[in-house]
Amino acid sequence: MNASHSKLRAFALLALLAFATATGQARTITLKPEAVDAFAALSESHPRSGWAAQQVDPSLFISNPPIGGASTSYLVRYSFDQIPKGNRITHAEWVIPAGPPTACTVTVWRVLAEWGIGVCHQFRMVHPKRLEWSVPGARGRSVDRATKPTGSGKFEPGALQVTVNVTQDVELWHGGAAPNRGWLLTFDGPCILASPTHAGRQQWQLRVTYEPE
Amino acid sequence: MIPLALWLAAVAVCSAASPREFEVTPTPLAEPPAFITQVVVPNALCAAVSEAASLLVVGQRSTNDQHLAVFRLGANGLPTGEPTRLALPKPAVLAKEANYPLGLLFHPRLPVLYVWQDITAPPQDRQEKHAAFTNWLDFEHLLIYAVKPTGLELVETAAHGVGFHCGLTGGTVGLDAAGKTLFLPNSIGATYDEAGLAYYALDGQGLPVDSDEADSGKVRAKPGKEKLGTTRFARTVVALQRKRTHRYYPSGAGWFAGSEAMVMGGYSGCMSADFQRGGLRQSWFSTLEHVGHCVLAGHPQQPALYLAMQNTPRLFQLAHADGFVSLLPQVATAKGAQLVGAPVVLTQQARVAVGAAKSLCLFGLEADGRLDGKVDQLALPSASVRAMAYAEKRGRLYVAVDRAN
Repeated sequence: MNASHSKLRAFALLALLAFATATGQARTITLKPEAVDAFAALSESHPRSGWAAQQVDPSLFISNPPIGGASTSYLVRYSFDQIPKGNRITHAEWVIPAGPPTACTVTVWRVLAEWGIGVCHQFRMVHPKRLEWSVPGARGRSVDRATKPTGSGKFEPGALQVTVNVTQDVELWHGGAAPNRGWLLTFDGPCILASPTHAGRQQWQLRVTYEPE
Repeated sequence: MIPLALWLAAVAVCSAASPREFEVTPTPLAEPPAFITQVVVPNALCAAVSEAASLLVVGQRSTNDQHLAVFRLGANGLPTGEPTRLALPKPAVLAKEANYPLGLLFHPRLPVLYVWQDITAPPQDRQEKHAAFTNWLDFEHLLIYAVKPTGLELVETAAHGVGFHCGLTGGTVGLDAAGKTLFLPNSIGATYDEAGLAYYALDGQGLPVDSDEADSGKVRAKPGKEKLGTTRFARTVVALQRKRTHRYYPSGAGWFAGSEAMVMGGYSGCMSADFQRGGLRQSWFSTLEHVGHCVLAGHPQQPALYLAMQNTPRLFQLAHADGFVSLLPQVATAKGAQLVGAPVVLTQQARVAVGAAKSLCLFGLEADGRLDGKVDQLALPSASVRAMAYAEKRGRLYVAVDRAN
């Protein structure tokens, strides 16, 4: 074996080592609005509408911007297709943006009941079957939503983003221990949110860190 | 041998559900599919087909008062000869203005055809304040034809005067699921640029009734032909209900009758409207990141709506339940296409047809009505393909073109 072969072999070993190290390291990805695969409004004032929950006048409701409140909550579900199989979740945090002049607390709940087409305050789905929430607005603890909230945060005039640690929920879903039925967001007062599909500066972000199992 | 990456990509495309947003280059079709029947009606704007009456009606812009082309269809669903031509009426004072049909709708159970027409008019901006607009106050937008063995016979006119904007290029009529309420576009809203919508309760003959008659359940006699010369009968009897929409003109850009709510296409989205405590409650879904005029159609068998954003390559697919819009839309971008007019759902072919400049786009559908990510495009001899109608039982799509191939 000559010297050039030895150098080549050493380089190949180094490259292999670097590759192995790199693939063994944790990676963080940010799931942006395009990863939101389902969204719905649950509003007591219009119990059949799953979109337009903002009442402008007695006969008109609009959908944008989403405005949460004591009687209006939202369902949001992400697709985790971007996270490769064979990895485990080590950390996940959800950045929820709001618009001024918001000052309210948002609480994030893991949803337990399946929901789909026609979801609204009254129903969790209408097609292919008409199924109601156990308590309208997905309020049934341990049935519609988890017993305890995943987390919460307070929007304030100087802090228009709330970051909630959602590691346990994402780990449950990604690992297959529970089906991914998204989160329910409830509010203690009026709360103007950014649209979940808005891709501009104030956008919803779910940062997920994972590493090989 | 197929490269591995290509094979994996193909598997991914075939096995995965189509994404929520996607861009696709349409596949050109060399030959028209057998389910498409072309009829030559230049400058066509709208079309409707009645399988019960074996009639195809195409509305067109016309300089010689031939606004409707009425084709008789044979047992095989094909036109049997040259069409009968009809002129749409307008007041004599507007003789120099061009009226044109924007929407055609057969009642699903009654032998009635509703026609929505418009006319060139003073400038759109603050039109109703324009001094000359008084001449337009007698223009009747809604024409109701009885479908008879001998052809179409005008039996009622309505929707006129200060209540309606003129000179628009979009807006049509729609019937609710029971076929008892007729919804109208382009009534005047609260501001000069805000479209309203209007509706009539219908009697057992499919004609508008006034509110007192609707409440008491009385059915009045049909107007005699002699009344139609002045249209005073319709004007004095019919009680119109009008509502704001808080959106730009045109309103009523396509309708879908859900079992509990009516859905209407409009500016940057669509609206679900349901009657609540005697009033019409409206819920707007906005297309959020995309802005423009949208024309709507609904799938007759699946919980799916389609919104074609005009003069853009974008088609939205939305789920609905009983007429209430649900979940996030799919957004398809057909590269190079400029979509115009209303989508038409082809149930037997699992496609949605949308007209475009010099072509027709056929968007593929999944079994549940979602877009499957595939688009075919057929070149057609028309500057703009707007007038299409689908005969659901026969599985035939009629497309009006400017000239023969």
